[in-house]
Amino acid sequence: MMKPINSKGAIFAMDAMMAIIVVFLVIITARTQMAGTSLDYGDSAYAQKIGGDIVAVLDETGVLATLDESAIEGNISALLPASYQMWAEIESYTTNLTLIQNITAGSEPADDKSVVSSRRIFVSGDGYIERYNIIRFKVWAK
Amino acid sequence: MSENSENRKPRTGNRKGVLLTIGLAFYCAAMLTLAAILIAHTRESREASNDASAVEAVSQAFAGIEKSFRDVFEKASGISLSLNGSAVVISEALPNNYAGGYGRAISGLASFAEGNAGGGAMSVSVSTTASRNSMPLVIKPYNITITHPGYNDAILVSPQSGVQSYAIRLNVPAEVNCSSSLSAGLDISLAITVTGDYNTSCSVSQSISALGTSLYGINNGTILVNVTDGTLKVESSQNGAEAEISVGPIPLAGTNTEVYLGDSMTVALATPAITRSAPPRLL
Repeated sequence: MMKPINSKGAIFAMDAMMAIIVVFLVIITARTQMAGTSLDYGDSAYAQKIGGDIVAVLDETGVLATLDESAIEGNISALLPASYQMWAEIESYTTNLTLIQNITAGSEPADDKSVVSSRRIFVSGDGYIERYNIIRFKVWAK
Repeated sequence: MSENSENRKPRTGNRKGVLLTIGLAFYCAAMLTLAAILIAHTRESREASNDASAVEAVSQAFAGIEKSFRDVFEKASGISLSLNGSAVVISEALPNNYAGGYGRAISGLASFAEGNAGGGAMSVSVSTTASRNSMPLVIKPYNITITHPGYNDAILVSPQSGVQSYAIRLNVPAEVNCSSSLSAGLDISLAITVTGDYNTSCSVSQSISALGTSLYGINNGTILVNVTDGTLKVESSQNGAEAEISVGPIPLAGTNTEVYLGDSMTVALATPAITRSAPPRLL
């Protein structure tokens, strides 16, 4: 024979259920807040540092000043950590600030990727100042 | 009476339910607190990450401009800088015929940097007035200033503190004869070596006073070395004379000698507000 339902117990149980639902809602909200993009928290600063360091190395070693597309692309690939991708564009100007050359290395990121971007200027010329250049680059996680 | 008391006493099943509910309530409260802490930390992390990215962006822009100035100086100034211990060695031809081209190159670089190195919320401003006029260099931490006053036929080394020695080597494309009038003392070690055509040469090496004037003339003053109150001036109206000047400050413990351009540059980000302003380092 079934026992009659205890009304106090039922209310306690419903109360507990509601509390658990609220908790799950809060946890889901927190999770949503955390999971914004693929590059988040320290990752974006780290990606920015990776890109900046690679470009600085290419500048200091004179690779950028060659304005050689394949050399620049090859060096970027060699220096870039495996879990990241990088795209770079160089605009080269005469000393009269006229744009005369445009170089790109790598493929542009897909629209759904979270990227960091930065830029750096450098000069080039063999024994004298021939060009003022700017490299713009984007870095993102694969 | 005893029957009523027994009725008020909670039954065993109810007591378990109450305990379970209280337990769940504590559990839920703990989870809520943890979730709230997590959300707050996430927000702080994101802000900190954005700030770190901004600082990195400013630093990268600054480093690029600084390196470009260094390259322009090396390629266009006609001046070679090197370190020999704590002494800075400056080599160049006097008069410095590169000064005009250097001024144009550095001015063009400043315009390019201001127009391209920033972007978005980042702005760049570069001053080149002093560089175009007198190509100033500053040796730190001693704050010794090296300039090219007038028509760039002279190098002026102005000590703020602690110059211990000047060593000057001059190579003159002519026969040389020299005369000297040195103010004897113990403050500054002065060594001058002059070489000219047809194996002619002259030299002097002695300590001089930091006060008063010491003069060393070559070819009736065509080239003149002048140390007045510790400030060195080497001037030449002889085309093609090559000067190598070693400025030896007193070594300071725990400090490194560095050479900066006399002009300054500023890279500033509006949000978050980050500004870096300093002269470009050359050496």
